[in-house]
Amino acid sequence: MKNIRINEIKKFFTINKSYLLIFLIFTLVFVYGRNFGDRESLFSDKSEQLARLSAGVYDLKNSNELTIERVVNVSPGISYRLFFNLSAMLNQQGSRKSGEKLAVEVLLGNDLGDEKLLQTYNLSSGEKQLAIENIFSSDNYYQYLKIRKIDPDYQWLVTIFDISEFALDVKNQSEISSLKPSIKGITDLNQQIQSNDAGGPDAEFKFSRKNQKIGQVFTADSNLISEIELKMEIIGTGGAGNYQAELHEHDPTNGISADRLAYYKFDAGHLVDRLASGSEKNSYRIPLVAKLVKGKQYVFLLNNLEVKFNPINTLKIYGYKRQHGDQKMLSVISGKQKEKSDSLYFKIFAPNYSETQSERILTGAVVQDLGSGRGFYTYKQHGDLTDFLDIFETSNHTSGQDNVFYDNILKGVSAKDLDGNWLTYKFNTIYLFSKFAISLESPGGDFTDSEVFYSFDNIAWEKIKPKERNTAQSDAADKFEAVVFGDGQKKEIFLRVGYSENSSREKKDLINHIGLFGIKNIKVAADLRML
Amino acid sequence: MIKLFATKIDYFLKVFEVKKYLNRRYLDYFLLAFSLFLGLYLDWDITNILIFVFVIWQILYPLSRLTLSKISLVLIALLPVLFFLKEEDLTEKLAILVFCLLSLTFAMTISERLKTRKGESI
Repeated sequence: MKNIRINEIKKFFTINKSYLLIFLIFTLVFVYGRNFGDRESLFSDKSEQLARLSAGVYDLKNSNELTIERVVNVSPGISYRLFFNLSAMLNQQGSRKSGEKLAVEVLLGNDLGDEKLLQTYNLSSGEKQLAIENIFSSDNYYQYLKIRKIDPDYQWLVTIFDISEFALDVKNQSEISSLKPSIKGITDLNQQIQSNDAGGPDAEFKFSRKNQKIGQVFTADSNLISEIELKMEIIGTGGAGNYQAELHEHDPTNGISADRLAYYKFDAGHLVDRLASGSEKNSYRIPLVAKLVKGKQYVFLLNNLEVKFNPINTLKIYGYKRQHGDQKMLSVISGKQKEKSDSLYFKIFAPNYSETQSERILTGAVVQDLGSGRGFYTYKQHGDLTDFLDIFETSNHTSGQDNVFYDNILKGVSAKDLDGNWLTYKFNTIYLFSKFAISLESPGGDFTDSEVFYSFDNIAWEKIKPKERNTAQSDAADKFEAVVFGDGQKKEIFLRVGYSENSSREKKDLINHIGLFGIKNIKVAADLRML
Repeated sequence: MIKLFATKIDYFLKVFEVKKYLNRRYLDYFLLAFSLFLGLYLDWDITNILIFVFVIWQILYPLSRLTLSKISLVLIALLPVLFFLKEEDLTEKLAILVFCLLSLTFAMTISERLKTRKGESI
C-alpha cells in the first residue's frame, strides 16, 4: 500500500513537472524572500522626522524651498546676530554628481512676501558648515527664516540646524564693526591617527551566520579614539534590526575582555548618515569614542546579534586577504572565537579641539559680544559623540576603567552605577559671568537616578535638585534646572553628574535593571561682562 | 523518510476526504491562493505579490511566447506615456513588470523550442 502511494507521488511529480518547479519556487521564496524594508522603517522614519523637528533640525529634501517659523523675530532699526549650522548631502542615487556644489540662499521673510537675503552658500556633498555667523541690520519686520536651492535639484538634502538669533545693543555700523569676534568651539573629528589602508580591498567578509561577530585587533597609537572608518556594503536591504559596533580591550593570551569600552548601534537603513565625506565609495564612519592607552591592544567588532537577515539581505565588510602587521582579524560565531589570517580595512580618527587662551572651548559653545560691554555664552549638546568628548574628567579608578561611555541609544553619556562613578564638565566662559543658567536631563525609567552638582572650583559642590523626577514606570527623562549667580569674578564653572546610591540599591532588584546612570541634553547660557 | 511522508499524506487524504477534491483544478487554485498568502506573509508590496501570482499562474497555464511578447510590447509602449504624465512610481513598477514578462517570454521561447525539438526527434 505504502509503496503504491510513493510510486503515485513520484508519478504525479514526473508527469506534472510544473508542480515540482512551483514547490521549489515556494521553498526558495519562503527561505530567502522576506521583505526587511518597509512598514516598520516607514513608521520609524516618520517618528524620526518629528524628533528631528523638535530638536530644531530642519531638512530641505523634496522641494526647492523651506520656510521655518518661530526661529527668528526681527524688528526694524535693530541689529541682530544669527547663528546656524548648514549641511548638504547628495543621496546615493545621485552619487554620479559627486564633486558638484549646490548653491543655497538663506533669507528672512514675512507674511507680506518681503524677503531679505542674508547670504548664499556653496555646499559640497557631505560638507558641514558649522556655527555660521551672520550680523545684519533690519529695516522691516521678519518672522520666517527661509532656505532656498538656487538650482532646483531634488537629489540634494540640505539640513539647517541649531538656529539661534540674538539682538545686538549697537546703534550704528561703526559699533557693529567694533564688536569683538565671536569665539566658537569647533571640534575637528577628521584627525586620522591610524590606518591599515593598503590600497583597494581584495577580500569581503559577509554576515552569513546568526550571532556572528567580525572584528580586528589593533595596537593603539593615541590616547583617544572618536571614530573608526570601515568599508562596508549593504546587500539587499541589509536585514532588519540593529548591527552593533563595539570596542574592547584585547589581551594576546586572554583574548577579548568582557567589558565594552564603547559601542554604537545602527541599522542598515541609517548607515547612509555615517557616510564618510570626501572618501571613497562605501566608506562609513562609526563613532566609537573612548580613552585608550597608547601601545595597548584593542579590538573593534561588528556584530549581528539583533539582526534578522538572510544571504540576500545582509552586510559585508571589506578587507584584505593577508594579515596586516602583527594584528589579527577575529571571527566569533555563537561565542566561538577564531583568529583569521586576513585583515579588515580601517582608519582610526581622534578629535582635535579648538582652544582660546589655552582653554578648550566645548563643541558648539559660542562666546559672543552683544555690544555695550555685554556678552553671552551658550552651549548645547546634540546627542552625538561630542557630548562624551566634551567631558572634562571622570572618576579614575585603579583598574583604569572609568566605565563612562557615549550611548547612542540614549543620545547622551552613560556610566555604570558602581564604584562611586562620576563625570564632570567644565565650562570656561573666557569672560567673567554674572549669571549662569544650566539645564540638563537624565534618562529616568530603568536607569539609576542621577545626581547633579555644580562648583566654582571643582572642590566645593552644590547639589542641583531635580525639577521633575520620574518613576521607573515612566520612560520620561528627569529634568534638572538651575540658575547660578556668581560674584562677577568667575569665568569657570564645573558640573558633576553622579548617581544616587539609594536609587541604585532600589533598582538592583528590578528584573530589567540596566545598572547605568546617564546624562543628556546639557544646555548652558551665561551673561558675560566683555569689558 | 519518504515512506513516513507518504503514510501521513495517505492519512490526511482519508481523514479529510481530500481525495475527491484533489483534482488538478482545485490544486491549482490552492497553489495560486498559497502564492498570494506567501507574498502577504513575507510583507511584499502589492505589485510584487501580483507579479509572483502571475508567474505561478504562467507555470500552471502557460501563455504562448507570442501572447507574452504582445503583452510586453503593449506595456513597453505605455512606459513613455506614463513618464510624460510624471507618474514616476507607476512607470517604475510597470518597467519591473515588463522586465518580468520579457524574462518569462525568454523562458517560454526556450521551453517551446525544446518541445519542438523533442517532437522532431520523435
